[in-house]
Amino acid sequence: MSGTKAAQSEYNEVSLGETCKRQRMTSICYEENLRLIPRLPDEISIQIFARLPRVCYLNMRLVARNWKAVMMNPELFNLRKELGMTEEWLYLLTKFEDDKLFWLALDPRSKIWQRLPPIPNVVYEEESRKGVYGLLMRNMVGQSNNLTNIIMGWLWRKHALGQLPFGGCAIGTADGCLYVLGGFSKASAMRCVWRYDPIANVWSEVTPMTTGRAYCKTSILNNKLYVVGGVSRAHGGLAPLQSAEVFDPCTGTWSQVPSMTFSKAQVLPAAFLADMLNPIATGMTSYKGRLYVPQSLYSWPFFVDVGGEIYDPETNSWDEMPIGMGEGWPTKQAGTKLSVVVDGELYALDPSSSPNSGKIKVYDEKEDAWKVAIEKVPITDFFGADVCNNMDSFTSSSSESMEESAAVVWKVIAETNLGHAELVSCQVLNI
Amino acid sequence: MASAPENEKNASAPEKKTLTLKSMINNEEFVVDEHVALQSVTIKNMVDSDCAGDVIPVPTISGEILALVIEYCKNHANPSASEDDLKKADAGIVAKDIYTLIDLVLAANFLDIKGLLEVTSQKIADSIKDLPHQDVREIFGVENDYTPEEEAAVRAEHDWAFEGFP
Repeated sequence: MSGTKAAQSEYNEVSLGETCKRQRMTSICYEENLRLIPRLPDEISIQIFARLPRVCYLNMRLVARNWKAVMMNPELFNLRKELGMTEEWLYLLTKFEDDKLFWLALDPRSKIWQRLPPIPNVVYEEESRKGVYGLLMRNMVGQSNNLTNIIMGWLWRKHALGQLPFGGCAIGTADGCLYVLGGFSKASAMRCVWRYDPIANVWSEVTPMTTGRAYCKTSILNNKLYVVGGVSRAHGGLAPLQSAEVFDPCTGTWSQVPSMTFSKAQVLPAAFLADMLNPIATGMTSYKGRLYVPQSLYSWPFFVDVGGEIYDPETNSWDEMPIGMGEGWPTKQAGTKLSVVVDGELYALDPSSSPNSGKIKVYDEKEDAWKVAIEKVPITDFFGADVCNNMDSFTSSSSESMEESAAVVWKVIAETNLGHAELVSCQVLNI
Repeated sequence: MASAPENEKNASAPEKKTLTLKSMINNEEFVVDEHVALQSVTIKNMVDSDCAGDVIPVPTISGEILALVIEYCKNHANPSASEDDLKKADAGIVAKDIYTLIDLVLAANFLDIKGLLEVTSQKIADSIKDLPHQDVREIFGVENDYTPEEEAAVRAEHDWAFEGFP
């Protein structure tokens, strides 16, 4: 009965009746001007705000300063969680012909699309980031001065439409935020990590990875963001990375994870092959409390699957993946292995060579085999071309829920004509 | 057939305690069964601590609003009401203009009736969600304290996010 005290005081007011009311009115007269809604206590106003669809918030920010402050306050989103008002949105990273990267968000309920602000184009050299300048920049961005961000955004739009950094970046989600990790910039693999906070609608830079990585794999496990592998620039070529590290969004720090052993790659039949072929992680999925990393050997552009390894956070060590799992893991293209866990089951999309005949497979742990879960996946034009995007196909391949597929019901969640666009990543945030 | 339950009701009537709620705004009085009124935590605390007289004065709440509150409490005190019935009844109670809803949410807050507070807040949210911000300002009497530059920046962020989508 935590409310007893408050109720008690209210009761006093009841019995005191009019006198008290008048007193109250005068005492809050000044405060009323500062209230979110003058006639209501802020507590109730916030209850109302929490019940608004999330898509309204950008508009409601325009009402007044304190409205904007509340709409950007994590407390409001905690209340949404308490009230069960959270909404799952789909976030798509798309790449246009000219290598422009665009983030889009889709509210599946209202079918409203929202464009995310671009990642501020502050490309500075790796070295300078270690210095004071880097710190300053980070602080500036971290304070999420909106005006600064918008201006940066406009500048980016007008002057930097060409090559964007972050080609080959990895995309993950943690703690209700999107993360863009590493990638190439001016041909060097970057350590930088950008975080998009949907509450503030801004990008900010967080602690960089200890190693510059492009095309690394990322996944969330126990609320921590793991990255494994990828490539870095070395000796004029691309060097694959076996190392791994983990980001804790609560502390904002990176810690080392033991490197993958690639034990399979060690037992190649001929030594010369080992020189030519590089081991690389081709996917990563958090499944049953461990990280499953399928691996390949590659000599660009050829990939040879060599099973994979499993990271167990409890023992902090890598172990070999069951043979059937590694060998049967469906491959998307160029050795990329996408998968998703829905209701504890591991699914992967097997796109096959001809359009409209993709399958969804599910991993059977007992038999150590991948089995067809859904025969026909209506993927229209999965790769590029004139995409009138069927978002479902994206959902199935790269993220979220195949809740729909569980009922073998496919529906087009939403369509939009993005012109010539390629889907780079697709994530779901529930806030 | 009809007379039997009628008799029963009459027989039990003397045992049923009632409370009188009096709006201090327009002195309107409402006689309600105690178990109905007790859905208000505020009233319950008064009754529990023996502070409630025969007539409970309710300041700041008009008779019109008090009637709605009592209707809500009656519905929710009925043990045979199904969830669906209650939903429909709630929807009927909050099918009011925004100004009435504001009074109602204040009453629900004052009388501490959680369910009513929730449905009314939700209804207010539903009624403003599609409105332009200028209308929201006007309805709630919120003063625009943005400088023109600030407002332009917030608007630019909004327009950038939504422009060009069907």
